[in-house]
Amino acid sequence: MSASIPPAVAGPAARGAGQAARRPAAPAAAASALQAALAAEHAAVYGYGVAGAHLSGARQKAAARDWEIHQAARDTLSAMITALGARPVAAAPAYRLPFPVHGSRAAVMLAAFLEDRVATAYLGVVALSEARLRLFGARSLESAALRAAGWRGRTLAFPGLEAPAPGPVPSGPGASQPARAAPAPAPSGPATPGA
Amino acid sequence: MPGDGRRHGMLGARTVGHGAVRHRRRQDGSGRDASGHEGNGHEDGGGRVVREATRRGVLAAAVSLPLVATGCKGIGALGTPPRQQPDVAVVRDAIDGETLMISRYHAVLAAVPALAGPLGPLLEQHREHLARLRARLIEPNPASRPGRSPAVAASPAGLRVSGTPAAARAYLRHAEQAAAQTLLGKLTAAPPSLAQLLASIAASEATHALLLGPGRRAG
Repeated sequence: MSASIPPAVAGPAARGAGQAARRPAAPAAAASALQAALAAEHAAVYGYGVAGAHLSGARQKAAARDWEIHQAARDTLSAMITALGARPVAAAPAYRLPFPVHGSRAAVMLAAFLEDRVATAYLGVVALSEARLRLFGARSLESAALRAAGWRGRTLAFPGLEAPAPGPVPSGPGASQPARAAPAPAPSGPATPGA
Repeated sequence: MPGDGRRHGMLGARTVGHGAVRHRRRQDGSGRDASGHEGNGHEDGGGRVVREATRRGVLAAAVSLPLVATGCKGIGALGTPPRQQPDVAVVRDAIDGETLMISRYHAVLAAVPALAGPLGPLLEQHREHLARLRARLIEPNPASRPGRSPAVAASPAGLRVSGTPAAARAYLRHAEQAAAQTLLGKLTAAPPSLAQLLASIAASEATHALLLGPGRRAG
């Protein structure tokens, strides 16, 4: 059984300005937003395993470092959710990757994609009313955006709110250009965890 | 005072989104205040029974009366502009911050034209930030903002930028970091969707600072 790497839901801003958000009571909203972030962290932990298997040298070290960061974030979120009286969502046994990853270029784009999804999920935490959680969400969003920029080599105007379409960058001189124009490839089958 | 909430909404700037929700709540509140009481019909001096003041009727009257008053007396009769809502102040501060960042980029590019290539994408993203923030503000008359000086958007002439590329990048890097911190400091004062926008812009500015760092190529 495999799960697609979930499209994260960012909350009010993603639904468009001017719409009143109908949110459940504060603890339920907090648990829900944290669960979405946890699901994105589970996917990132899985995805970095795949990406790391296709990288070498400094980039493999960077992938290993980020993989550990996401494991730590996963544990933090699980503890926060448990403290709210909810049961943390479990990781799927495997995840369907957004595009085939057979080489280092696609592996780097996968890492950036994973960070985009994590950033979006934390944006949902930013929408919570509790100041402590809001700041936690904002700092986590920033960390994900920094990692994404590191992998991608360029910045986004609205990390978490707007992300380029997933897809490996075409090879050649334009490789550092945005992947926005590239069509999203058909999902590949379940990948085996690497690294 | 019954008309205050509505006058506030009509004249004062407000943000798009949750501000509008709050605005509607305020109207409901004024409606109840205007009635003073809800409920029973009563007999007037002539023995006629005055129609029962329903909640709906009172609300309708409360909505229409100030509009009629405005039509009769003109906008001047409404007096000084009301206090702005807190989230309006947050958006305005963020707009000022982005305007200042754009000015800084212009000042750097004037001093070090060779940086135009790497800085171009970052400057463009600041323009996107500014446009998105401005879109959240409904201002009937921006020229009459209370308590603000037009000099708040610093002109490039007022910014001193060193002429070496490394110093210029360091200058912008520190400015980006400070701008991101300032936005994070405003998060808890903002309604949810605005907080998300501010957090996203702060994250973007943090990534700008990363790419402006030593050994990185910006853009």
